[in-house]
Amino acid sequence: MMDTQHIENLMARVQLRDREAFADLYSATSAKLFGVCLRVLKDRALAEDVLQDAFVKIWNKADKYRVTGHSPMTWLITVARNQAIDRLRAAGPATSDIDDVAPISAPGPGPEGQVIAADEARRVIACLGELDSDRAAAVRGAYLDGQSYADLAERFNVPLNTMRTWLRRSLTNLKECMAR
Amino acid sequence: MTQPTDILPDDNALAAEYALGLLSPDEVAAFEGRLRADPSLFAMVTAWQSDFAALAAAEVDPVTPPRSLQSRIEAALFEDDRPKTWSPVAVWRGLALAGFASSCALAALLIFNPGPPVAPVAPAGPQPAFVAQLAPVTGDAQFVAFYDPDAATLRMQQAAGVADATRAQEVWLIVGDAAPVSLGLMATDGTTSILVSENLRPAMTQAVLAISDEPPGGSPTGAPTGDVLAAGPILSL
Repeated sequence: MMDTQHIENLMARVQLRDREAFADLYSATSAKLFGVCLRVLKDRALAEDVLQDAFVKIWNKADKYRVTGHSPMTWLITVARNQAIDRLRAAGPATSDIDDVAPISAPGPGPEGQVIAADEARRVIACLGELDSDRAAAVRGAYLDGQSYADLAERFNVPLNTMRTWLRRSLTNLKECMAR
Repeated sequence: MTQPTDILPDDNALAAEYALGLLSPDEVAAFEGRLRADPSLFAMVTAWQSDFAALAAAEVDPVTPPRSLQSRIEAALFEDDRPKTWSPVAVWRGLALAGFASSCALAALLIFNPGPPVAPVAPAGPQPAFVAQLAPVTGDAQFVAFYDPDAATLRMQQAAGVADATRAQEVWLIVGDAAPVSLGLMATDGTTSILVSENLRPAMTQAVLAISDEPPGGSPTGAPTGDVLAAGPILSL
């Protein structure tokens, strides 16, 4: 279902305003993206609304996604997840689309940027495994569940500033591990 | 080209916090200012997005959304894609149902309205023998039309919606598959009264009336150029 080359081909056709390809892209990816939205929002009706907004954005911005250098699946998940975060933090400002804040000389896709390698997932998960379990849970909470620093501080019962120091150190360790 | 700003030791963590949506609005604004000027910072953000998306791809279970969502999305995206120029055939097709609905509505009006039927909305003058109710096609404007064959006069009124004062509303007669023929422009207020030319009179009893949105002064081409605002078949009373 999630064959990378297939998704890549569909995205290329969606960029050319091919509605049939858009319908196929929806069939191939909507369950995963709905899962992502639902995990953040914990509410089916909200998640449905957000998934709709995400697919509207996917159609409207399909020609821009290459600016990010992302693989199609990374881009699709990022659009859906940010849309869900914006809904979750409804009072705050909307998350900028990454293509809107790209420098003029953005790097564009590198060869490794073309796919979400199964490798990449394995590496992230392995490196999360090297963190203390609390800290790995905080990183997952921030991304997968969309928890804010305030949510995380409450969950781990630490002051907010401590939580921030904690998470930033975890992220730095995570990056170092992945660069190895 | 802007020189990359110095990468601060904390930038990688900051890029991650940005990708996670953990920064305050002020921090986001400051960070995005740097992002636009700094390809290496931008690359840090996209690398984090890619790592996190890989995590979601691996660990979030797919959940099938309800079947209706796909059509909702397609309706939201593609519904307004009507061609700007319209063919009478397409209008006819679209009216097959609308015509039925408006006949029913007219029938209801005539049957259930107490007192003299039609008179409350009919302009003064001899009773019209033919009517049309023009249902909205684009927007929410509706019109009613009365045709008096003895006087060869078509009277029209807007019944709902607000006319765009900067645009003209042009009245068209559509007979079968023939190209629409202009009958004139709607008056800016009150009742529009149109004397139908002799060659069109026989067609008035078996045609469709339509109103299109046009530039001031009406269609420059002699054919409709804007959206069809409303349309409806002429019916015998």
